Amino acid sequence: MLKLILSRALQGVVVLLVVSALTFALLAAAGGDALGELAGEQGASEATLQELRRVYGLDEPLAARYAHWLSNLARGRMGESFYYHAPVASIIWPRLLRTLALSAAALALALSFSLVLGALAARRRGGAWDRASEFIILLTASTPRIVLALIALAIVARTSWFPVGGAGGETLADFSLLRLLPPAIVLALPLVALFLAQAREGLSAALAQDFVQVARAKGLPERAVIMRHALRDALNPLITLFGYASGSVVSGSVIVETVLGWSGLGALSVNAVRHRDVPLLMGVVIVTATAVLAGNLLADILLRLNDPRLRPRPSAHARTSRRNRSSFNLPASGA
Amino acid sequence: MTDTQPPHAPDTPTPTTRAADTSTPPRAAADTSAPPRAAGAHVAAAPHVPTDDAWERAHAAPVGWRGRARRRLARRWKLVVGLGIVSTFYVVAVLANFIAPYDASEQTRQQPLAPPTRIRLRDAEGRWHARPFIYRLRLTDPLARTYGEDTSARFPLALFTRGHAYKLFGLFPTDRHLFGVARDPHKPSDTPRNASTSRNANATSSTSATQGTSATQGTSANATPSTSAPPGANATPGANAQAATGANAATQRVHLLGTDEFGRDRLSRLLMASRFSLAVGPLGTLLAGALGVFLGCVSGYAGRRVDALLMRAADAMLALPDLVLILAARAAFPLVLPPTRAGLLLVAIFIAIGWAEMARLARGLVLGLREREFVLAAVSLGLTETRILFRHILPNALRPLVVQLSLMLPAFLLAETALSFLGVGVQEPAASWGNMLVNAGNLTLLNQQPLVLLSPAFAIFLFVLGVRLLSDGLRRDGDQRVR
Repeated sequence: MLKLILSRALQGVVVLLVVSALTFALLAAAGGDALGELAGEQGASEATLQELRRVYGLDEPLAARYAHWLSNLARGRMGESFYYHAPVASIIWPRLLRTLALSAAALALALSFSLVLGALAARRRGGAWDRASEFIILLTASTPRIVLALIALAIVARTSWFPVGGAGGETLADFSLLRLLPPAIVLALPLVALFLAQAREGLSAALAQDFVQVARAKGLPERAVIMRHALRDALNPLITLFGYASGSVVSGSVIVETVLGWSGLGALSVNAVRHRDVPLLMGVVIVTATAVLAGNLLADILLRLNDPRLRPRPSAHARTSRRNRSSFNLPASGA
Repeated sequence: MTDTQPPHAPDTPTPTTRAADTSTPPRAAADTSAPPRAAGAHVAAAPHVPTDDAWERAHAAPVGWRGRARRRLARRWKLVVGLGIVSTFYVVAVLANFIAPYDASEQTRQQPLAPPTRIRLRDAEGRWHARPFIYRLRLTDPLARTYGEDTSARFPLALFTRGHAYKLFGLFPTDRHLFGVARDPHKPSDTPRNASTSRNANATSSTSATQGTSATQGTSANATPSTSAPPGANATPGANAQAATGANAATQRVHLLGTDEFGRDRLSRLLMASRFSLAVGPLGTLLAGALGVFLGCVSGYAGRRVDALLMRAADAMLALPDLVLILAARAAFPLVLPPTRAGLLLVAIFIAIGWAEMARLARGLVLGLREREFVLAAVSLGLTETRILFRHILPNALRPLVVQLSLMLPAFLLAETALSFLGVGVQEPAASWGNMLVNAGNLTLLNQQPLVLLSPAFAIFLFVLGVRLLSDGLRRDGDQRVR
């Protein structure tokens, strides 16, 4: 397990390096920066611009700047935001917490809803619950978050069920469950399509297996059969999906947070783009990538915790790469 | 194997009802969404699991041509409906110029945020008319933007009316539009025959509290050259009074979805926006898919070093959520761009980011296929690797690739919408579904006209639904053939 975590962490660092280098190069190569906007908007003179470039270290060559940025990052500094005039880390941190709270709520909502409905549907395929879940899958899969977010906004605006204004104050203490609910539901609904389809299929496949028959033969009540036996078998693909969903949630949070006024990382990244705030954007990209990679790693760990069969074997990647060493193998009998 | 039309086809609208009446367990239901191969394995492995006969009967292949036809139809309905929706959208987009009654950027500043025009058959005196007509709108309160109807004049609607000039399919210049306000408004003496919008109306003297000096801007110049718009008509006291109340002097325009804050016809904008939104996302998807397939084939076929390099790059791409990547890439370019360049930029970004997923899939498929017998046969025939790749392996991998394409399409369509919504995609005055939704973010407006403001959202929903159905149908159709 430790080996897995370490190797994954190492891979993750490599991926982060690649991502950051690509983003850095892209943002620098296009030549646009907040200073250019400044020159356009406020008519700053060329001399002022030169001076500002020197202050922000923008006159150095690209590689040097990247190395500088990296070494700062290693020391926990991500530079200063052009727009907010504050250290990037101090801007990102509270918003990261808000986004994490939102994502966790959304994932929990989606997962619990899908598991309950999936279990109901799997118990009798073709029954009312099954048809209902079929419909829900189609509906949630094809309703984009931007649409959902605007509908949620309309509901918030027309009713007085929820407070308007999203995440409210600056501290964690200002969180309120009612505020969290609309964005969390909007974020969760597209995931329901994903999770519910998988839960339904997985559970009904699991229920057809021998060990479920055994459990029933033992006289366990159906609820226990599902909760204790079938569920565990059906959980694996769901956990894998969970890793995928962490990326989807972050993507979705950009829209949801902007529309519903939840001041988190997603809304921040939009602001960074609007103001072409390169240091802030770099910070957001790195933090987001780290969060998504951490989500994937978490999914991997959970997968191994849930399924003992996965623990001792070599990873799928190692197996395929060994097989591909010679270019035309005879097909293996079992494959 | 031809599609025999089952006589009772209407009885089986959805597979779910069919599944219900036979109380069908898992994989006999045509609409299960997991790959049936995995589920099928269970039947083979444990055929003795079910205890009751009904269960087993339901698992057997349907008997007779009726059963088979019914099943085929049940499998296909998603494909058919999805294809129908998507192709309708594209036909409408191609004909957008013709269907849209007005130019998408033509402004009528005296009527900002007008509600959808009510189309009537019965006039204020209670008489019925064969032709649908509309009444003139009057801005009763310029601040709250409430409108009332002026029932003194009826404006009948007509099909194939003349409007602003455009080129059908970009080729044939014409000025016919699907519908509009008829040229000869019934009755009122003070309405000029010329129905073109009020280019030279008394806008300058208008007391319209909102903004603007000219009634309509820019593009109205290429509206039909008014046959010497009679100045006398406009100068009549009645017309003056109407201009002062904020309505068009010449005629009332029909706005099925109302107008936006500049008085532009929302329906026309929605239609023209569909062109943009339906071009950028799908084009990006196609090109990204092509690049991905190419790189995936190279990766799966070329040596390990290239493979490792490409796949690590793909890993890095896939590590980040697409929207964040797209935003980051977008930030590298000037924020304000003309619409065409913005669209091309978005396509380029989609290509740069979307190839990774496709490359992964293509690589996997190539790796799997190249160990199959028919490839070995091709190798032993001495065919070149390129030929094997493109003539033997790729055709066999086509279906999963197409399915993957159809899964990527909504993602990119929504990315375009999201970027335009956030103001960094297609920008005003060009219309896109995304930037039309910006108004819906305004709580006051949203409260007043929720359905109208969300109409682009419904368009997005419907299109995405169509694509989903299509890809679902494709996937299931594919499974059927594999078996």
